[in-house]
Amino acid sequence: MRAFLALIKDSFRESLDSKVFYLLAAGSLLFSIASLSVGFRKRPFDEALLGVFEKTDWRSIHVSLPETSENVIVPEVRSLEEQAGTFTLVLSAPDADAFNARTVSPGDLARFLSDGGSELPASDELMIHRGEKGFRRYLHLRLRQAGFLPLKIEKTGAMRWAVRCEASDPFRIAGAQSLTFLFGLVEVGLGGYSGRNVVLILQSLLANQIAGWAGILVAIVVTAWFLPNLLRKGSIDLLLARPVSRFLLLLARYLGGLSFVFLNAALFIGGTWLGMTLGTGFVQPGYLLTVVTITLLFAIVYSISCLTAVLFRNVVISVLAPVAFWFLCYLVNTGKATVDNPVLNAMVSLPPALKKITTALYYLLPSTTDLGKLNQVFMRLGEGNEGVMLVQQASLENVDFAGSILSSLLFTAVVVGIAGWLFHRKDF
Amino acid sequence: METGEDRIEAAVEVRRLTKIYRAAFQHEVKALDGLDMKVPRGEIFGLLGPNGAGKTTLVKVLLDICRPTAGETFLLGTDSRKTRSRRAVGYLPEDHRFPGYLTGAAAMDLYGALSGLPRRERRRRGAEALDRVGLSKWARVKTRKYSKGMKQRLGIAQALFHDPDVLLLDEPTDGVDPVGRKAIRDLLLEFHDRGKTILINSHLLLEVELICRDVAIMNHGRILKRGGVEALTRTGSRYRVRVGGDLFSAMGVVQAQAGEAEREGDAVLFPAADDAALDAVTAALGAAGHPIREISPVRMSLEELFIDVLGSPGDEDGGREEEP
Repeated sequence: MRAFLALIKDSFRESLDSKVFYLLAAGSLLFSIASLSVGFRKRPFDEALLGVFEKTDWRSIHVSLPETSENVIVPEVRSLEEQAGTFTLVLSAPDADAFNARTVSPGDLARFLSDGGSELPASDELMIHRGEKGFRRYLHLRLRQAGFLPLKIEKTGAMRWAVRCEASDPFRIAGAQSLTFLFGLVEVGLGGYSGRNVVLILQSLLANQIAGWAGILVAIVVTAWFLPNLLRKGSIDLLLARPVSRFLLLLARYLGGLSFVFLNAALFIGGTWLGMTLGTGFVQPGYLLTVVTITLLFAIVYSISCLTAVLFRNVVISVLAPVAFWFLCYLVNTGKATVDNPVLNAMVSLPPALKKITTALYYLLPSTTDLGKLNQVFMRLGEGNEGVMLVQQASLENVDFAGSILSSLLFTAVVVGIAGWLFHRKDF
Repeated sequence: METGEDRIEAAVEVRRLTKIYRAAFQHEVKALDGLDMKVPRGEIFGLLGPNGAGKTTLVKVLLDICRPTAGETFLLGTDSRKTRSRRAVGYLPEDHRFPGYLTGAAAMDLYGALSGLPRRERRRRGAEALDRVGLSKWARVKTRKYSKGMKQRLGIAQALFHDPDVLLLDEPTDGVDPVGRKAIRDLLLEFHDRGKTILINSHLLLEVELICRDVAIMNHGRILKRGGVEALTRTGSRYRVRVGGDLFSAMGVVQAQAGEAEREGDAVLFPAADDAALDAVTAALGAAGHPIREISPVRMSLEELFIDVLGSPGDEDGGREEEP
């Protein structure tokens, strides 16, 4: 254990010496300050409620049945009143009996949208809204989706309805807030987005794009030096002459690289979380869990870096190989989603061999894309789906996260094991 | 049949050791060829040989840095493929390279931890070792700023500071100035005085001659000659005498008595087949009024022995193996 810790400490010394750690820490600080500068400004609740009807393109939100598409109705706002924090919106429709729409599950919607909206697949989750009752149910669904809760819709006359809701949490209501940057200096309207949606988008950008993509690329470059440096003639002799097993040497160096990334990810995610929490007042501890996902994603690609370092002892190969591997995983993950797409399968007859190869590769290689989706799950822990965009929900459907994590961990363990075995057999 | 106890007596033991380097699309290289060798505990042993003789490979196999193709190796009686065999071993590789981001003290700390020393011991012994090799003022300086000689001294310090029983040194004084070399020699002799075993690989034959009591000369992965330095370098029947009085007159006396006399500076060299012949020469010199100031057997230098054993550079077989 003493030797193990000493080697991990040595990896840190090396990364500190390269000054990259300080550079990354400074970057984390800048992003944290930028996150702190983000805030929300409350907008009138009635405007937000009206906005649902004004800004919504009803035809694009619901999907008309082809044979009744001309009968789709658009509700008209008659009045809006406020009494003790409760808002009453009176709506009318020209002919509710002519209402004929259907809503689909998030997954089906996403597939439909990605397909260009040409054809909607048959699905058990398809909800058909017909007539007056259907209109009311659809309206309820639409407002709930926009974050208006608690909600009550009453029929007040022929073709007239009263929608009652309370001005509860503006953060969860679409259009109830505007976004501010630079500590309130810049203000941007959110349109049909809720504050919570925007925080989710920002956190997703930070965790998936900044830390999970750019950050990991930087980490690959920084840590790619660790093992080739260790294996250089003259350096490795000094270590192998000690009473320490070779596998332990390699494992410690590997974990040293992981610790470096974990610490940087923790600084970045922790800092931006704190900044955003203080700036927006929205506390979402689930975002902090993305540190684990980022480290796991790095663990996968770094295992390839370790393997190539043992094989070739070359820094350039140790940088390029994991990046190429990561891209391959992305292609396979995307390929699997594509060959599984029912819309595509209905339109095009894919060769069975292509499906088999893609599926085999998908189960053989780590599911890096699924780990990115896992971040979305973490960011929404303890929260419902209200106020969350349908497409965001759709991307998380049908993902076997436990399977993805297990297969990724297994793959990483196997690659590190092979690297250790090769290292054990190698002459220096 | 050798018993386990015999093996424990040897600090280093090598049995029928063969190492063949194989690489794709390249010729095989036989670095060690059925080598047998034993270094008893408490000895300072010099391993000599030209470049490519297999000296470094032998040490690397002993430390499990290289894997043998055939044969067995033991360190202090333990199979050297086992990790624990390296617990009581210190090693200074040739062309060693300390990570530039480590200070001298941090290097000591790292290698000490890998050798299993607790933190307090590492700090204490590390500071002492750096002081012994004259690097205490450089302890907090990164090794990338060290000169070659300083790195060499740091290498000695890291090899010694965990108090190993066996020390394997590959070119220990390479790049060190004469004063530093003397300091390293003293350090090694002091280490040896405590009953420790030292095995030195070196091209610097004079250094080896000054330190080692036993040497082996290797080439092409085989040991060509092995024995005590004194015995190996002794020419056998020639003596050097320094006398008072006229040198030419003394030479005449020696010539008359021994049949041959050769001047070498202020001394006379002559052959003497045995003690009686030697006594006859000294008696004749005394009788002729030439008091004897010094008399000693003529030895060849280790370098001369080395060249003699390996043959001239043009010799294709690179020396002859000693008959068992």
